[in-house]
Amino acid sequence: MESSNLLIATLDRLGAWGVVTTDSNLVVTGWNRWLEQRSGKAARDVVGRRIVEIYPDLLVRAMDRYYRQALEGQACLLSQRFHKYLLPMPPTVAHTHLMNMQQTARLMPLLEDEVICGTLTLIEDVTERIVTEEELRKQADRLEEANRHKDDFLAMLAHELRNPLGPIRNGLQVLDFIPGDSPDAIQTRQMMERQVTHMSRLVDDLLDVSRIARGKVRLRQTLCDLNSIVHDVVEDYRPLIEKNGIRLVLLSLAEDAAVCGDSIRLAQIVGNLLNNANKFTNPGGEIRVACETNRETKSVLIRISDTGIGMSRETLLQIFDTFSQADESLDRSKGGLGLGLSLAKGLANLHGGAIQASSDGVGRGSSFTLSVPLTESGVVETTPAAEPAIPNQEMKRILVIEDNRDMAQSMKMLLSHIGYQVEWADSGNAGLDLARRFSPSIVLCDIGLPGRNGFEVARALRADPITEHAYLIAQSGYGQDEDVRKAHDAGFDLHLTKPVDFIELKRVLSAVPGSHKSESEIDSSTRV
Amino acid sequence: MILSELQSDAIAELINIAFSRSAASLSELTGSRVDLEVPEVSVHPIAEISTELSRFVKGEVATVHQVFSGPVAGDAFLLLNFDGAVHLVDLLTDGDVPTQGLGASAREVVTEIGNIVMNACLGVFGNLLQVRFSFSVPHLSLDDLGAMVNSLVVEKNPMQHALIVGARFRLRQSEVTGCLVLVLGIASFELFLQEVEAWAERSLKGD
Repeated sequence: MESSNLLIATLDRLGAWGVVTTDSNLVVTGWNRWLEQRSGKAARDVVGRRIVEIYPDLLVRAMDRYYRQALEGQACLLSQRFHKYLLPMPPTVAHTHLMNMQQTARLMPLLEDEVICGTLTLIEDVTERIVTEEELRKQADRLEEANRHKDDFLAMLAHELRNPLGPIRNGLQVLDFIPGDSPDAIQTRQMMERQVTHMSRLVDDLLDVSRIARGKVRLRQTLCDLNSIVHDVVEDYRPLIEKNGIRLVLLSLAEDAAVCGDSIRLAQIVGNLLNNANKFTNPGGEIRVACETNRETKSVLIRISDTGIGMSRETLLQIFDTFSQADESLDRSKGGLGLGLSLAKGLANLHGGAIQASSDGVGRGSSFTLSVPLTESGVVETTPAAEPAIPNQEMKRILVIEDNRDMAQSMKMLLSHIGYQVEWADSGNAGLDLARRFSPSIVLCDIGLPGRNGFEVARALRADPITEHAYLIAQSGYGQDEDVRKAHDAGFDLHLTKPVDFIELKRVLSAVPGSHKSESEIDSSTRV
Repeated sequence: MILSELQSDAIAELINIAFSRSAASLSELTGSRVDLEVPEVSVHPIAEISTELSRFVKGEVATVHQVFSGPVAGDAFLLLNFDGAVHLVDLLTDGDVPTQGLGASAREVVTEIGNIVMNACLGVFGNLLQVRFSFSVPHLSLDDLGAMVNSLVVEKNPMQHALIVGARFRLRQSEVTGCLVLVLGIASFELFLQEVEAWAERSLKGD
C-alpha cells in the first residue's frame, strides 16, 4: 500500500493522467487526485474495494479480462477507438453528444521482486481530440460532398454547352446548300441566333455566379420602381409562358414601389424566378405574381407562386445552392444549368434583400418571395427606350486588333456590313504598323495579344501623333475593377468585357465622343 | 541458424494458434471477420535481418515494440509499411479514424493491434516454455526501415537472433502484410527451439 501511494504521488507529478493501482485481487490500493476530480469518487471511498465492484460496467463490457491478463504479466494498450473508455466518467468537453469521457488506457502488471503483486492503470482523457477529429471528419465529408456536386455540375455544364452546338453546326451546313435570302435560310439563321443566345445566357449565368461568389458584382444603383420592373418582366415572359399552356396572373400595386437598386439586376432576379416557375409547372397550371409592400418591415415583396411539381423538404434545403441542381433527383428535362435561383438569391442579397422558398411538398406547387428594402422618397428613374444605333459617318475607320482569327473576321464582316471601313491585324506589332497607315478613328483592341499586349499597343498609339486621337476600346475576358483601371492607365477610353454583344457594340460605336449621340449612352459599358 | 523442417513447421503451427487468438480478438473488437495468416517463418542472426525484413516491408515503417522479460527475455516487434498501417486502420475502424499522417488515434489503433498480436504469440510461447513473461507497455515508432534495423543491430548483442514471421491480415476482401520479429539471445533461442521440438514430437505422437 505504501509503495502504491508513493508510485501514485510520483505519477501525479508527471502529468494529467488517471492512475489506479490494485493488488492481485483487483482491490484498489491507489486512486490519484486526477481520478478523484474526474470521477467524483474520493480515494477514501474506493481504496479497499474491488475495482469491478466500483465499476460493474467493467464486467458488463468484459473489460475485466484485461485486468486478468495484467495479473498474468501482460501489458496492454486499450485504444479509445476500440473501447471508447475504460472507467465510465462524465465527458470533459462541453456541448458534445458523448456520454462518457473518451479514454485511452494502459494496463500493466505491478511487480515486486519479479512477482506480480497487482496492476497499474494509466488513463488518458482523449475526449477533446476525439471531438476535434469528428468535427474534421464532418468537414471533410462536407467538402467531399461539395466536390461531388461540383463534378456533377461540370459534367452537366459540358452537356448543356454542347447541346446548342449540334443545331448550330447543322444550320451552317444548311446555309451552304440554300440561297441566303430564302425563307429556310431566314428560319435557320433565327434558329442559330436562338441557340447562340441560349449559350451566351448559360455563360453569362456562370460568370455572374462566379462574380457574386467572389463579391465582384457592381450594382449600378438608382432609385427605381420595382412594381414597374416586375410588370415589364412579366409581360416579356407572358408569350413564352402562355405558349406552354400555363396561365400567368399579375397582381400589381396601384402605386410605385420605390427601391434603391440596379434595375437590370432586379429584372434579372424576377426573370429567373419566373423562368424557374415556368420550367417546373405543367401545361394547364398557373403562375401568379403578386407585388405588395410591407410598411412594417419597410420592404417590397414580390411573391411568385406556381401550381407546379413542388419540392420535398430536402430539396427546399438546397434549392439555392449553386451546384445542388445538378442532382439527378431534380428535373433536368428542361435543360439549363440550374443556376437561376442561386443567382437570384445572390443578387437579392446584394440589394440588401432576400428570397425565401416554400412548398407544401412534391406535386403541391412552390412559392418564392423576393423582398427588397423599400425606399421612402425620391424620384423614380424611368429608363428611356433605346434608340436604334446608326453608324456615325464621321467615324468610318475601325481597326480591329485581335489574334483570334474567327472572332476578328466575323467582327470585321459585321462592322463592314453596317457601314464602317474596317481593317484587321492579328498582333500588337502588326496593329501598330497598320494603324500608322490606316489612321483609324476607333481601335478595338484585344488585351491578350502575342508580342506586344493590348496595354502596350494603347500606350504606343497614344504616343504616336498619327493615332493619338483615336478612340481606343479595350476588349478583354477580364472585367474586374483592376483590369478596367489598367486599361485606363494604358490610355484606353473604354473597356468592354468579352463576349461583346454586337448590338451593344453598335450602340457604343455610334455614341463615341464627337458623334451626334450623347456620351451618357455609353454608360452601361465601362468608361475608363 | 537454419531451422529444420520440423522446427519451422512447429513454430508456424504455434504462431498459427497465436494468430487465431489475435484474429478472434480483433474480430470481436471490430465486429468484422479478421483473419491473420502466417506466410512463412525463418530465423536469422541479428546482423543479417535487413534483407529478410525488406521482403515484407520497405521505406517508412510503423513499428510496435514490446519488451518481454523473465527466464527468456527479448524484444518483440510488429512491422507494417506506413501505407499498410494506414490501410489496416481504415479497414479495422471502417474509415472512422482520420488516418492522414497516421494521427494520434490511428497510432493508438496500430499500437493496440501490435499489442494483441504480440501478447498472443508470447502467451503461446510462454505456455510452451512453461515460463511466465512480463511485458512492457507497447509503443509505436515511425521510422525508415533502414534506421529501424540499424538501431536494432547497434543496440543488440550480435549473438542475438531474430525469429521473423510474416503476418498477413485479411479482412473486407483486402489484405495487409507485415511481419512479426522476436529478438532473443542465443541461449534463449536454443532453449526455445528445444521446447518447440519437444512439443512437435509430442504432437506427432498424439499426446
